[in-house]
Amino acid sequence: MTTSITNTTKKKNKKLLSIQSHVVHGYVGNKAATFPLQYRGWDVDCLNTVQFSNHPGYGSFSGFKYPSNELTDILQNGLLNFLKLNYSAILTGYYPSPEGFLKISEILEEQYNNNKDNCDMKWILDPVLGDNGKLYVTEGMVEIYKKILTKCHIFCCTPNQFEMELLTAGQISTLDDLYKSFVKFHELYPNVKYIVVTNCNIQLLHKNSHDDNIIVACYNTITNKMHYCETPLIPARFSGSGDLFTALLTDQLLQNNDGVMVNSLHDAVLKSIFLVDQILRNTLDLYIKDNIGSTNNAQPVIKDLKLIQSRHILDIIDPTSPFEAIEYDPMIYF
Amino acid sequence: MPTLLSTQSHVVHGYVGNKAAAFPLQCLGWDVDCLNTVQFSNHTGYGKVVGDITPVDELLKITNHLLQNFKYNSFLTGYLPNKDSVEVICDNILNYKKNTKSNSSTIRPLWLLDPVMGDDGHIYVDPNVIPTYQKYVLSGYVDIITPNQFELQLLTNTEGKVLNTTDDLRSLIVTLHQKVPIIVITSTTTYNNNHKEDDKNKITCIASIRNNNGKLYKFQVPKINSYFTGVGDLFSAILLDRMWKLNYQNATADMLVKDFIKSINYVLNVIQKVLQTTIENRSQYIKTLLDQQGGEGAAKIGGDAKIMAEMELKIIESKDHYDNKENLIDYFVDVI
Repeated sequence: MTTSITNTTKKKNKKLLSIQSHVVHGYVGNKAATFPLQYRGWDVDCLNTVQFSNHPGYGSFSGFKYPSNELTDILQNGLLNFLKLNYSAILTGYYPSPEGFLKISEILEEQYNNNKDNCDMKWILDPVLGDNGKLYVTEGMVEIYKKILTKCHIFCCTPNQFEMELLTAGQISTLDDLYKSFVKFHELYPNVKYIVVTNCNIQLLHKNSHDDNIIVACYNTITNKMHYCETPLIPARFSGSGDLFTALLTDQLLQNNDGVMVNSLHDAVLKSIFLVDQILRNTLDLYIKDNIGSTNNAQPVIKDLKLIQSRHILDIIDPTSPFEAIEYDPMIYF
Repeated sequence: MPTLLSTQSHVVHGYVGNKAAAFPLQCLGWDVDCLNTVQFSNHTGYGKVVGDITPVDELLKITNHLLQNFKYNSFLTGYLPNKDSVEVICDNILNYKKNTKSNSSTIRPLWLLDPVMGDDGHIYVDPNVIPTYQKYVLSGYVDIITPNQFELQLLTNTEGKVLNTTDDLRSLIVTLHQKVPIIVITSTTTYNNNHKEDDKNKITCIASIRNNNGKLYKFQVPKINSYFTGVGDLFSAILLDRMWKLNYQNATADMLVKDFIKSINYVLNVIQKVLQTTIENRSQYIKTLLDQQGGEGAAKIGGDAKIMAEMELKIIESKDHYDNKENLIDYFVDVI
């Protein structure tokens, strides 16, 4: 059994501030998060940290990073002090400057402390650092994230396997490694309530497991329990799937049902995985249809999610996930 | 799936410019590429704005990159902050359209240009934006324009002149039709006041299509006595979607007129439903305040951020209106 998350907000308040990158063309960062959240009823304020023509995965792009002082100015003097907005959720992703992000985190933490009583601001932090062993930010950014995770009240943090390894200074090769990394994460960053690790490529020992399954695991620091879920790997590479996952997880964790949270952490994870899985499969199907005869790549690289063509999936209000969350029992492996 | 490049302002909070246009178009199945000409905390009606406009050299680089690398079926240009940004954006779109060969199976990209310059006798852009817009509107590459009556007069150098009769209005529209196939005048205030008393509680919309013997189509919707922002931006977005589906470049004349009237009526239905949803979803506090002050009261209380925030369109709550063809009200009045 796990405790269900309760939300004290009585009035339906689905106001969210998403601080991420903006691409004019394609679906990563704020472009991957905003439409799905809006489609599921969220009033999304988008603070764009960059404006690029498209994501760097295209090989070339054009655009610029917004100056840090401009972004903090908009947040502090515009949204919070002038408009006096009370967000029920904050979503942060890619941020171009370490110092700028530290400043943003200070403003958000202050807002959290000032409004603890009348507003339940929940910060969902995606520590965008890298993937598959490759860092795509500066070393300084890793240190900044460690600092922020130490100091700030984070509702949910969603690293991928590589980011989890960086933040806990360890390697993850087995389920037990993964469990230990959660325990260590919690020791290092006790103000983070939930941790979800995506895209884990680890060997499972049980017989039904396929080599190329992907593990998603979550850790609830209230119950100190880890759940994990195996999903079959989709034979393609996508840009923006992580950003989409974090957005849908936010919705699953915080969607109001008369002020009462309906999903436990692992249920929210399962439902989000299911929705993302469906959207990726739909994207791949459409990609294959569009590229008939021209691609014989076993693992195509798909630059843009087909989010708009997946509206029927985003319409599923309460998905029944075919995946299963298994509670990890650390004892059996010792 | 049709693709669109929408070049407008971006506000972090609220629904004007790209924030008013993108979500409805996405719900209608468009892949919307949003090029943001500004990033502001909120729209200027709040009395204070934090943020900045996108530097023109950045706009130029991004636009070039987009148009060289991606295919677009449509362009939507709305508020552009100054003459330079109008030139950068419009020049690039114009060249893209020039270089796109049309044949029977594909239609040329549609370009809807909303010449955002002012309203009710007030200009709210740099005065040198006016001749710049005139240049592009008359370039022969713009398919649809959505000026209000004041902007129509600015485009035809007739500002200050009183339009007394339908024929006064018609002559301006016919002049622009030499270069622009579809013209929709979103509100005709002055002209409207000289008509029947009954018209005062209604908003008149005039739509016209080229090569139609100067016939204008008049629509009227009941005036909702309140203050709204972003309505024009939403109107242009929904109109672009309908005109794309109308496929006017390939339609026969008879079909076209019938479908054109239906399309404009559909756009007006969507707008009315969104406005209705907007006032229904306002807080009781604001409803009472507006009742006391009268509909235009909010304009007077402009600058109070909390109240202005309540005036924002409920774009998200209106999700089901954008593609809903049921229970349409007929707003078409007459051919004039």
